[in-house]
Amino acid sequence: MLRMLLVVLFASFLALSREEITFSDPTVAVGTWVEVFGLDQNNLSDYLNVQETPSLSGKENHHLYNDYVAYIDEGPVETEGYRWWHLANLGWAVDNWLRVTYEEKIPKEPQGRILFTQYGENSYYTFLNIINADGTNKENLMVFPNQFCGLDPYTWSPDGKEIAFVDCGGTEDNPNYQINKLNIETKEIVTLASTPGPSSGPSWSPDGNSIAFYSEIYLATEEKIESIIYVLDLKTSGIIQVTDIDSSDPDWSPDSKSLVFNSGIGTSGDLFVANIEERNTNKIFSSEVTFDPLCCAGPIVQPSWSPVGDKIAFTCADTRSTILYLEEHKLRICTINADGSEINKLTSEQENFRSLPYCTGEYYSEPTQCYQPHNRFSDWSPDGKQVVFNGITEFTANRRGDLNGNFDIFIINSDGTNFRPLTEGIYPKWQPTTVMQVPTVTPPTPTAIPPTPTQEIRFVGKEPTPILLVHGCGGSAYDWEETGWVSGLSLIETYTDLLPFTEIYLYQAEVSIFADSAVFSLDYSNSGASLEETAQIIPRSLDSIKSVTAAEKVIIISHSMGAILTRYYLEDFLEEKYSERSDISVFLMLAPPNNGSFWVNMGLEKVIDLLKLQCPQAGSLNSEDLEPLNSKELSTSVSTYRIAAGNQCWFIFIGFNDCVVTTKDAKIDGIPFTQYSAVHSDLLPLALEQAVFPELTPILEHEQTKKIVLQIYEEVVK
Amino acid sequence: MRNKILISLLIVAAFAVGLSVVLLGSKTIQTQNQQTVQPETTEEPFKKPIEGLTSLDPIAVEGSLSKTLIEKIGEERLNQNLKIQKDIFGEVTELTFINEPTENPDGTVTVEVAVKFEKAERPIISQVILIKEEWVWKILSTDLLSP
Repeated sequence: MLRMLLVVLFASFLALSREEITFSDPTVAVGTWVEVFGLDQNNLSDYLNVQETPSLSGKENHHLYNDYVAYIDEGPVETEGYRWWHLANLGWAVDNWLRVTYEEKIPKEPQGRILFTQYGENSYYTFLNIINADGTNKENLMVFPNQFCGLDPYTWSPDGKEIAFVDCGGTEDNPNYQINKLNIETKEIVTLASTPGPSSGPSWSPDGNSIAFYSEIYLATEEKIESIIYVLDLKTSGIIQVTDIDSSDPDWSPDSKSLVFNSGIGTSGDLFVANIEERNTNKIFSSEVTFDPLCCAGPIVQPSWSPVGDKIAFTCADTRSTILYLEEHKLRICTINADGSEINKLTSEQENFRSLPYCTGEYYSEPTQCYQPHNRFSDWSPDGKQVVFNGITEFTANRRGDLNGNFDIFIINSDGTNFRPLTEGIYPKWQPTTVMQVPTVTPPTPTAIPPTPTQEIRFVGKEPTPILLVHGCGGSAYDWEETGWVSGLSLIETYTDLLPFTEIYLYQAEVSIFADSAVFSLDYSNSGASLEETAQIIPRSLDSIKSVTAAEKVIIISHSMGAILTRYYLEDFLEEKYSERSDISVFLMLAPPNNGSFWVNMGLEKVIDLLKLQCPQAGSLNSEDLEPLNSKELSTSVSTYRIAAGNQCWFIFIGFNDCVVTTKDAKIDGIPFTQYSAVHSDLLPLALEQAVFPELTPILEHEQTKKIVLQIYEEVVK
Repeated sequence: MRNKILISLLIVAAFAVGLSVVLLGSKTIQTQNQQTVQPETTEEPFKKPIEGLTSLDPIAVEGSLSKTLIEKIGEERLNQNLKIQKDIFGEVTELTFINEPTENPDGTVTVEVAVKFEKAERPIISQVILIKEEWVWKILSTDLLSP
């Protein structure tokens, strides 16, 4: 079939005059994005061949169909009567079926490939994997018999063909610390040099001539171990010492002249830039000076210099601490300009909260030990527009490695938008490229353009009936995703001005159980403010939703305390007064503590203390504090109210309840009430979980809940 | 003289029986009107199962609960719950009957009690509904009324 096509193609060319051959768009050139066009899209045999060499007789690499978008990185070459262009990462194609594409068609999905590590379950095997940045084509490159030595253990060569990695070889008595390089095509491993001690954080200079790393050196005179940065000259194999203070995690500037690194001295974090040629070092940033608990207030690790050179990303702790206790604090990725100015928080530790850890073990001893959720090991995309990083929960770690826990890899735009998960794994490193790459084409897919990530609002149904999901005390926006209401949450707005030192997030779901609506999920899990203060997030998020959807009213589905926050707004208890408050059409309350929680009402301090650990506002959920709210008439602007609650728990003299709220306390006179066998949530005090475990069903997970909500939703939408 | 005394006793006994019949008839009417049952004749049998709850001893509690309620709670979970409740609430330190029992149209009886748990700062008021199972009053439900 291909031969036939080539014959046809060749015949077509013969029929054209030389002048006609040059009809192709003159703006096609190296550095442009082009699309395939002019093929019979109904005939899968009609495709554009991409050859390994600019020749009809060469090896075929790919088949491309109409609308495929590719980047031209080389050419043109004129052979056999054709003009050939090289499509990045694909091969050579004749230009008759290529034209410059529109801006809108240029793929926005992250490009290139990302190297990462996965550890084998119940084994010490280390799997070195690679995956396309759009999440496709995950493959294993190599399996190592042991875990890598140290944190952040490898670095790409600037041509993206090799990686250098640190190795703690030898025996315990006779260790052999070294830096090796691995060719990812041939899998050949070559030792580059021995290092002065157990090493980590290698960084290959963009000019390809040097590898920086740090080694832990025992200083006999001071009887302590310090991290010292070195540079290995790959031409001479000589190693020069760069720092003489405790310092680690070097990363090269794009011009290969300077290294950025962090210092572990004191309880704050400092970033330094060392000019290797001039042999001078300058501190460019200190978290002591810019002390900002929302972004960076403590130790700093793993700085990463953008390949474009304008910014440096790094991991920073939320509180002052020595670097040895780093893992006990929240770690986020922040960025600064390369001169140390304008710090910005890029990631939130909440975004990777895969599960709720319980702090049960001793430091560094228990594999299930709880540390704060971490974002770390950031690395830039080759164009400097995106950052890949690790989200880590429930892990143990020391400075020599031995990691256990949940490791997920995420990508986020450098402006903080379009956060998305990539895969499970650790130590992501974006493969350097001189051009943007496109994913491999898998014929016979007619249009192989990567899916375009979008944050625009998508309406599936005829009537936009946006829905706002408001989580409960101690929960987060992801409660709704974990219980199957929504998936693919994308951050669309961050409110920083509502509560002091607190960020509130509004996410939009890509998919939900509500077919006709745009669904949003609010996240106030950072808030330690009072109920009234926290409730300000309701009108603000409603405004955002109305703005982006052009809808006048929003359906609110709340869990637990989310109902109280909504009622504070609806019944005019906020400091800022809203005259209308008519933008909620339907208000569905799931397990609402309308009259408080019986634990708080009874004054059971032991349980209240446990609840407060998960939710600072728990103490206010009592009948006395909520009395003003309950003494007011319900807002008549809401057309439909409904309450559903669980009754899976039973206590003497208290009766059936959902383990947090009794039937009486959930009910409001005049609102239809439904009750079934469910518990309040999975965030119950531990003792209670043991009491009813394993049969408990959190109300958000209960099928009956979704059934009731969908039934009301259908009624409202229709 | 002895005969006179016997006759007097018989008269008193007959009067007592007659009075009981009147009272029972009155009770039926009163029940239909949701009036208070005479405490001196009904309070004791209701107290026992309620007081049985306060021990938090699984056997005593289970003996106080109606089959319907045990089935609803689940026998296994009941034992687990009682253990946890003892840890969290502590012992019942005070139990006060705060009103007179009332009989409901379905034959059950409702009474309100104030209960103070060892570890709770505030007492609660609970509404207890009892049902007669095989001639013995058992607890059909308990519901927190306040706070």
